[in-house]
Amino acid sequence: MDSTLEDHVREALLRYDIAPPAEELELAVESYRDTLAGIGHIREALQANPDVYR
Amino acid sequence: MMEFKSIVDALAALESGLVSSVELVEAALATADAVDGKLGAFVTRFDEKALRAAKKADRARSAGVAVGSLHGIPVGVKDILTTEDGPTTAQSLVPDPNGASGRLADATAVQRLRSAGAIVLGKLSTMEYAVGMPDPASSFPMPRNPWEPARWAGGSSSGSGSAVSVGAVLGALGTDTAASIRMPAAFCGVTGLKPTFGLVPRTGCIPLARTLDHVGPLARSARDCDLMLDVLAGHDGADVDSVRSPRWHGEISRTGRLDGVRIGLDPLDRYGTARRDSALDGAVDQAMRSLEDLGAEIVPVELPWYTEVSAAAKVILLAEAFGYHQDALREHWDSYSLSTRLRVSTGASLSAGDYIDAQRVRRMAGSAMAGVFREVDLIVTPTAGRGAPLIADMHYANGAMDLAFPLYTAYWNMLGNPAVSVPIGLSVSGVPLAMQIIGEPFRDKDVLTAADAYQSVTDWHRTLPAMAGGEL
Repeated sequence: MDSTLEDHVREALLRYDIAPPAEELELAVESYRDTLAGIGHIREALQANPDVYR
Repeated sequence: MMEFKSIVDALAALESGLVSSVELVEAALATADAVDGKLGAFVTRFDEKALRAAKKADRARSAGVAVGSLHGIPVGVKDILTTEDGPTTAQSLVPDPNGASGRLADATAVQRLRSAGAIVLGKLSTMEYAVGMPDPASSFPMPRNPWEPARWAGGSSSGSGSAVSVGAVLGALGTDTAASIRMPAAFCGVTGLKPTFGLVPRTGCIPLARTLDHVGPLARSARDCDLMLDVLAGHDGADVDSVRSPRWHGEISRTGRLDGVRIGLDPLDRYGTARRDSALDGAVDQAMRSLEDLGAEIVPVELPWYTEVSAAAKVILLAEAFGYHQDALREHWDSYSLSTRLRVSTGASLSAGDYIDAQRVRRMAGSAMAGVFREVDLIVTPTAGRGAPLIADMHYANGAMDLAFPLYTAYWNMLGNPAVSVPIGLSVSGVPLAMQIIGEPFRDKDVLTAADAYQSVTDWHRTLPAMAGGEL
């Protein structure tokens, strides 16, 4: 598992005092990884349109 | 079994004295008795109260008292909207974070249906908090598809779709945050309307994502949905997004013609191509020919920023859902189903920047879409890329939002436009396929007019699953 992503997800959940068991943390990382791909599309679209104030 | 499958037909029979409200309710309950063991459509039923209300409706009709436009019509309510009749579970062991679970008061939409004379038969099954996935381990009903019970009814207004399909109710309330009215409508072969954002109040509805949530009707036909929308629409100060003076107006046109209407078709076949049903494109083509025969002009369009808006919908949904459930997740982690807690908790990993960027994309697309609607009056896309999936094929252990089939609906939750899903044919597996017709905000009547015209020359919405007795 990507330790950077795992650290991010674990720390994000801990900010809310949520500490899932290890096997669920692994699944949560996969869920976040899936979402990250979409965030990449969003950022690319915004960077490609820098002149628009929104 | 229920003889009348549409609200329009049942109202005509009531008004002519061919049937009573008691008989309608008894038939609906008998249908539920016969099939719900296979469907899992109802979470709770209110048989005695419904029969009392039906007797009262019949007495009023006999006395010449006009109660409203849904006088004596049996309906169901997704179990995420509160009712005075019983608790609201949201299909979860976790109590609603905002205290709705035990609140015995009608949501505004329910109250409006009841005031128009509708009779609430029960609460209909959903996915946990409108975001979970089918869970065989759950103590709640598994919502199965009336066309083939091994398949999913769709979600999250699962029971609303399946109960209408078999005639266990004649209309139902659903909610739609990314697909949840239109997907079960499509999978169960009925008609489902996601109204314009802000048109139907959400007061008394347990939120999933407040800037994406819509309440709307599922019924047999566009005309049934129109009857329900007329009752449901209107300002409610308790919903901050409820529009005070909507620019919506008028009646649906019942000429049965679409002369001069310019419809933009985006088949969205560039997305999820490998997983689309091979019968879908032919069904869409046939539907376009029907619309052309009615006088419409079909022109190609491309939905702007489709990939980005779909991604942004997911970010916003997860962030807003986590905002609602964060305290309950900490206190009740193990009581949520695995798919729900994994999906919703993904929102914790998103940053404020992610959320704001998603909202920026939303506004970019909204602006671009206004330009598209300067060229066309309506837009058509498929509702989903396939028919209902087999429950055994659905594996969501990682909580991913990817449903393993293309779904083309969340775009319109982001932009707020009205979108109605109507059945257009059958998949290679023999389960319903559907298209959605979309209009400009507050042009809900235009959307329903086109859907009604299409349904006046096609029978897909009247094609029933064998469980409900085959074709009407």
